[in-house]
Amino acid sequence: MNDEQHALINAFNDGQLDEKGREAVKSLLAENAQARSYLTELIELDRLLRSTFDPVKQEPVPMRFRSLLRKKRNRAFSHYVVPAALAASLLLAAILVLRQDTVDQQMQEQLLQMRQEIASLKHQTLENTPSGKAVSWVAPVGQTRAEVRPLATFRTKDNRFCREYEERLEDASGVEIRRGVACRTGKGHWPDLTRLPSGSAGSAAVEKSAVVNL
Amino acid sequence: MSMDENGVDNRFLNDRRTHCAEDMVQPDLTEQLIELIPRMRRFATGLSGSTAWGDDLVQAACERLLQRKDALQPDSRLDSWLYQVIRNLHIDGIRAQSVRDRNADEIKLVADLRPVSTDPMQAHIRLGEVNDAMQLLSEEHRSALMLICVEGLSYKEAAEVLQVPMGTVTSRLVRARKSLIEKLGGESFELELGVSR
Repeated sequence: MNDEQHALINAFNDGQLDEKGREAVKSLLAENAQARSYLTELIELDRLLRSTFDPVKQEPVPMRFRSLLRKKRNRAFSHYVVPAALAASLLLAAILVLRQDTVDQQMQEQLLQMRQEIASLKHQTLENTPSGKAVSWVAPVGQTRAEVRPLATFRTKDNRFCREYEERLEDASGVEIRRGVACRTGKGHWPDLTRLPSGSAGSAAVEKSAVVNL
Repeated sequence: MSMDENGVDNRFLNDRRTHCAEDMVQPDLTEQLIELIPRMRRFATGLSGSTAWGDDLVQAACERLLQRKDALQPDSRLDSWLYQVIRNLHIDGIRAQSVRDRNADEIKLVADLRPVSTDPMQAHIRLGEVNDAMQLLSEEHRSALMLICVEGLSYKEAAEVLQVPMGTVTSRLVRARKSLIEKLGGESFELELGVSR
């Protein structure tokens, strides 16, 4: 096959030919076994490429983008409705004073969202960050900060990848440091095997309990 | 993280202080951007070889757009613009590579996560190989493959993003596919073909 025929089969595979071009390739395929196996190679190559990179597209949008765009969107929104926002915030302040349970509910929701953000930070850090390097997250409001630092990577006998990590949570009430071991069950998914407060158990104890559970 | 009425007031004041300078982003542009991010992350991951580095590229492109909305011509498509900016940022990064070893951490991580003995039946290892092979190609070949084979752009659309004539795109793509098949290695690629038949 010559270069032109290779290019034609590529264009056929990519849906770039008109009716006449498609007919020409079909007759080439009918008479030339090399052309048929070349097309098969292209189809398989594309399938491999998509199955390599499509999972990235399926992942939930990481929080760095959500917070970047949410911030911008809120600002755009406030431009149009500043008087309404002022009224709403005064009303909100009044409600907050009068209805303590509303505050509790709102705080619960915020807490829940923060937990989700921190869990997502953990999964993404374990997926993408080398051992020893920390990745941190700061809550858009309040004083909550979280930091996840993978410490070591190992493989279990049944070929699972596991990582020991340290998690540092900081808010107005203080700092909490925990160590855990998580094992990868899929791309970007690292459920905990163990997690202990750092104060009560060192790395050795975590490793020991991890070994028992494996 | 206690939240009281003062907290609410403060946040509102902060908002009011900043909105005058930065509220110029159209809400519908932001919506479009949010929808495009998964695709852009896929593209940038393929170009750079890692989601971490890819996300940096996507974020830089988003920031550029949000800071200067006039960067986007009224008649140009947002996705094409983003592909182009991400690619240019990546090329800038490659140029800077000789000065600072940008990927030292990533390479270390790949080595870190690679199993001691490889089991060919494990799909994720196989997929890692495709990514590794992609990173051995030239940037021109890699971006042609990502735009056409993964992102599904037409040759004409890819030519606009890459800012080269359509004929150049076609010949790059043919060479890129040939090169990637070679990099994946005849034998293991045959194995992969065999599995799927």
